[in-house]
Amino acid sequence: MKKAILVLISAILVLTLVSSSNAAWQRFKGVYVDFSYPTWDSDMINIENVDWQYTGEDVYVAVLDTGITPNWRDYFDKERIATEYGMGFWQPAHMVDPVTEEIEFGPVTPCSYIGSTGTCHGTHVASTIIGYYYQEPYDWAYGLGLPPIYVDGIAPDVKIIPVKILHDYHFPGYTGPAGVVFGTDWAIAAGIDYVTSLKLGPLHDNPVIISMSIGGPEPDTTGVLEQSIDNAIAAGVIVVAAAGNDGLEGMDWPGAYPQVISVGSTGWRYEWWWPGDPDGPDGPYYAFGYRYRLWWLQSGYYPYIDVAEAPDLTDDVYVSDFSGRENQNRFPGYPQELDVLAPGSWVRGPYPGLPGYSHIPWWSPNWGWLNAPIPGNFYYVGGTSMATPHVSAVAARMLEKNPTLNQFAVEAILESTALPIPPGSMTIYDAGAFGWGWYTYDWGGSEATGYGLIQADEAVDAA
Amino acid sequence: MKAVGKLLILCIILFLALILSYPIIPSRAETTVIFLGNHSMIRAPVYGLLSNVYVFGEVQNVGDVPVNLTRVTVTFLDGQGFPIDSISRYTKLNVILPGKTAPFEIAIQDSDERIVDYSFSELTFVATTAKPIKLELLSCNSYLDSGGWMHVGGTVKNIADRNATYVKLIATFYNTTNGKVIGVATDYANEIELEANQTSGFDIQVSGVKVPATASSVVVAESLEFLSEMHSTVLVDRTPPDIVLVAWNPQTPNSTQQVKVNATVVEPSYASGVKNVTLWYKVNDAPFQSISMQKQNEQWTAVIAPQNEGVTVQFFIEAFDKEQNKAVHPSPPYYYTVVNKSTAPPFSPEISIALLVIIVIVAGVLIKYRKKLF
Repeated sequence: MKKAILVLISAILVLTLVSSSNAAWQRFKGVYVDFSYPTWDSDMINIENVDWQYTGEDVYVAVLDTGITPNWRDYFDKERIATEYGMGFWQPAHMVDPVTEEIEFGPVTPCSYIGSTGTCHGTHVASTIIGYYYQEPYDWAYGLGLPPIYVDGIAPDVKIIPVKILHDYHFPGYTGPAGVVFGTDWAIAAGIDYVTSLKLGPLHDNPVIISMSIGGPEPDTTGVLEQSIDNAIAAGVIVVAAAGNDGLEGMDWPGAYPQVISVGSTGWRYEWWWPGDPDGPDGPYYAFGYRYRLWWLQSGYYPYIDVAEAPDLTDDVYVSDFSGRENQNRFPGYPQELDVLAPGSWVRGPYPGLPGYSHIPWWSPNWGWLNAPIPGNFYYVGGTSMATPHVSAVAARMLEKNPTLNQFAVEAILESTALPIPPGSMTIYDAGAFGWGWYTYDWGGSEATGYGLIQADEAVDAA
Repeated sequence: MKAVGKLLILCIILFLALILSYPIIPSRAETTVIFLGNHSMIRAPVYGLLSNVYVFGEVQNVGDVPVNLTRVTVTFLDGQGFPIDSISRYTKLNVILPGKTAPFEIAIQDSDERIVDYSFSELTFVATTAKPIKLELLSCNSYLDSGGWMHVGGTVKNIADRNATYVKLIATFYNTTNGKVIGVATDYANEIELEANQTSGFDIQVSGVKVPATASSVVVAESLEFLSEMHSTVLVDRTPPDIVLVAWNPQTPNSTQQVKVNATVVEPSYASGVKNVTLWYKVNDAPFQSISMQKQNEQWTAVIAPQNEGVTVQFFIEAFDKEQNKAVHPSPPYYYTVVNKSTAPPFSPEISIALLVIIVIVAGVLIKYRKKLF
């Protein structure tokens, strides 16, 4: 009987904002887009000030997650996904005894890097790194003449290696005698080993980053997972992982391993505010109008609030209540170390197939009720899962500039250039535990903030 | 002697009563699950130096009551036939209704490639009172993704009057040449809970082995709520019918004879069953025209009307099963040429047999009544 833990995904809150399906999408996808848009979260880490000579070109980021959705071409250019290296692993669970409900796990099994229509977490994570095509017919219906756009990624020229190591996102770890499991340490270790083999083989001359928006409340006591991480780092792979969404209970593993660059989540005070209101950003006003539908974009197409620059930015940053704090008592013998923070409160991106939608692969004609040639849905999602790809992408831009950087150099630069976030509290308008309303979030010292909010411009400069 | 006689009569009465009452004595329910012969072993690499071995197969509930917790034990053998390891796994379908099949998949890591064979060591199961919940598969389609992995996607609907949670989809893939099971995919519908009349998409994929695009598949949906006496098995059949035998008579008709075409059309036990069979025929270069074939004792029959002397008649059979899977046979079509009446055989074999039967009957009657007649 192998000891294994069920791995819980980091995203904790998923709300439907809008969905889309429009046949006209194909006419412009990847051909021309008049506008590309930055977002509040990219502005928050100063992506606009990064030297655009460094966009992550020739850098590979392996997203160890739920794979990418079958219709990923609706969102990404073909060149951005390294399908030739795409891979999947999972480890099915099996009941040994129906009375004791003892479970054992089968061998790690290869599978596709394509996730099912119910597993879009990895697609969303990838979209933060490389950006995504966006069209929202509901916006048109509401009279918003927003043309089809491209939403900027943090490192738009990175190549994503989709490595599926998690099964269906929204199902429990184990569901019945025949068994299905969400994810195991051994499957994750297999994914890391696989990426390491790529680094030692065909990608020997390319910087390679492992981005893991995953985590579980216990470390792998067999040591298999940590050994895989150590092997990857020794091979020159940069390993980034989420701090987890357990808040004060502590960080999740593998993010909590000290050698991993771990990422907590921040939010922005004005994320949901309506700019131009007489009360201004200092007044409590929430907009249900147009701005609401395009709230995450930072462009001149509609009014927006510019994110302040450091050091004033510290007044507008809060630490998400769910962001995992260091807790050295969470699992004795396994110390926790939080490194940096990145935006993760609400990040918009592709999220087809969320419960409520039957999202059918676009190449399969006449499936389901969404029969548009290229349907696509977008959602906003919050969690350290969303913060992690920001850091992975900034690391990619650093590595394009200086491919010789190793794990510890990247971590040191990210930490030394981060914007320190002092202990504090903030009342913000947010979608919290009781729906939309005013919530006060507070946080302590470095156990919640690490070295602070990453600043991409300074990190790339220092690389 | 009188007492013995009464006792004998009583025994006879009791015996008769027992015989008469037999139909109302409840028969003991049979609970039997058997292995089907379509199992297979496939070795597949994980990556690099790692390798797994998979045994796929099916069991069938040939008893009278539903069973669950059906558990298959496979013993893996080395080249000398010595056991290496034994692994037990439950079938992918939790509750197997009478007559139904359930696939299983047993995997083992074997990077040293010691395993060359396997045997079935054990098959256990438990009778259950599970009742079906009404689920319906509205659509179902299989495809290979860009990585070469087989998916099955579609839409499932809860047509029961109560909620169904964790609707599981199980796809079994068959080698179309030999019928062996070569892959199993299991996953859940996108919706966690399906209310009455609610639909959900699903997209399940095979892991471990790469199933070829030519494989046929069967998909079953099951709600885990069988534990509370709810259960569903809904079949979607992706296997076309098999037109195994076609015969026509007379083989060489003349211009006065109609031609009777018989076809035997079968479906595998797991499939949905033959829905309709059509005879398509054409005379010389005229377009094909159809005749609906009628089912007679497991055979499908149609008649082609007499045709003019010298013409060539081509024909083929088209069959659909209840899931609209289509089979056509043969390709190119069969054909016959209508001959001159004088060159045609005087009697078809059927008429000859019929005459022979009549002669035998008449002869028998004559023998029986010869005394009265003579």
